Amino acid sequence: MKPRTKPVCNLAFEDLSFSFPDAKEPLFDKITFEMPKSKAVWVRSPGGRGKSTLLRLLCGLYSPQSGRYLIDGQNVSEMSFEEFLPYRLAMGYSFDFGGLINNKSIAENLLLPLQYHKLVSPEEAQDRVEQAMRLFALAENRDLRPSAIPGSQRKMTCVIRAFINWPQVVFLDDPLTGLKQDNINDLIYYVEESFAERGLRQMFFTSESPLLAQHFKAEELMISCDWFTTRPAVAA
Amino acid sequence: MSHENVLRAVNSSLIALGRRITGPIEYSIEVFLMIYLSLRAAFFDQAQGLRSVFSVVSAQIYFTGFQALPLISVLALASGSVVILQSSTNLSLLGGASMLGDLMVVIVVRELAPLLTALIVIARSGTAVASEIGNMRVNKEIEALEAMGIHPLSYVVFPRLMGGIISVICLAIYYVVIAILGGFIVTSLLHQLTFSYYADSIARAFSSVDFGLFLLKNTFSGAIIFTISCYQGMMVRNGPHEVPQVTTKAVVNSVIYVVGFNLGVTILFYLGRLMALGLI
Repeated sequence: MKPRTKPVCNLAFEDLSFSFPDAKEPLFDKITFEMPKSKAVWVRSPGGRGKSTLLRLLCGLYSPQSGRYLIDGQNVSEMSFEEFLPYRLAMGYSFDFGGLINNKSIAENLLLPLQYHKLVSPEEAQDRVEQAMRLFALAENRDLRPSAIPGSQRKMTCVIRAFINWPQVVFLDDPLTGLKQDNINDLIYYVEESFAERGLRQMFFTSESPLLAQHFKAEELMISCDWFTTRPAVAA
Repeated sequence: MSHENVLRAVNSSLIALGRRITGPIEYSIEVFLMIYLSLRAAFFDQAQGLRSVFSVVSAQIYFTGFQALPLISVLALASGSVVILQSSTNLSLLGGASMLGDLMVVIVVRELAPLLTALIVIARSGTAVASEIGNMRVNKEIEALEAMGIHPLSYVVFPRLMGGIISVICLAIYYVVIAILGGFIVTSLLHQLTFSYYADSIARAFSSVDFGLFLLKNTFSGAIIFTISCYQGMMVRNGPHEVPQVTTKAVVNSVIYVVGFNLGVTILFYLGRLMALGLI
């Protein structure tokens, strides 16, 4: 099947400012910064503000008020939904909470991006979903809707869905919150497999816990209103 | 009060007045823009198959159209009976019994069916769509669709708009049938009226102009209701407490726009007639 994704390698901001509609001060003010290229990037902020917003900006869910967001030199901040789609198909995003389609079952939620964009054959889509559901022990609840399953399984489904397209870059907003230890171990195994076999190149994540950062030797990305800086990989 | 303070007060009143005038215009533009954008998104969305659109459209027709049939039946039966009873009795007294069909077509087909159907749809489905989409926003479902590369206007709004328009047209046709036939049955129990006379009178009165007006009013009413409801649902920003607020706004604005549109079409139609007759 013809691939419709574009490579996503270098992510950079150029004089980028972002603020929420009713906010008095901008959340990010004229930031010029090239995102780290490490395999895993742990996004942190001293004041606890702006981490989710940064992930959403990188994923194209938010548009900056001014400045440019560059992917491999292309200014994507002014692109239409259709123009940005090839980049978006190379990205995966998981929310800190919510994000599952409530009138679809767990299996349908996982199948949705694959079926909608017809990136793979229906059989392969089904295989990918079945495999993920087996690994995370979601198979027995496959036909239930999100409101009918435990919170940890909802969270798990949302995180897995970010990987189901086999993206090049994933953005995980607080992926470990609400997960049981077994789920966390399974997730780490799944992410490792994605790096090794499914073309995953980079993972940006926010987390209160250093667990993922330590396991993947993540580079720390500290963010504030008017500066971004990086720190070396976290020791395992 | 100093001169400066008076000027400032006048200035702020003028600004407030200006906002009151431009507010509805801005709102109307945004709503119509949403129709355009959802059609555009659906047209340019190469991934969205007919199957995906059809499943949401058919669900919308089921909830908006099929499930509203009992309520529409009661309303159509009652209004049809009242119109026939009142008009046949009074027209007989005035010697205009042959105009019964004309009156039925003018009142039921041109006016009551589009307006009452729209009001029922606003109450049942407009509220449901606004709160459903509002909750989808709260639960980040709309953002999740976007993150998956699925355009929310094409996946969520367009099928609801299409399903809503089809439902409103079908419900209005059903309303007319029940009002005309059911109304006759109820009336015949109380009043002597032969079916052949009644049917002949209706058939003579019904013209292509009535059909055009009926279709115009119902198509646009459906589009207005579902665009405003989707728009209001999409306006939820900060949390679940906004859902009831946007639902109320969806109802109020839909009623205002639908009534205004129906009234506008009727006024323009009769102005056109008067102009054609050379009376104005």
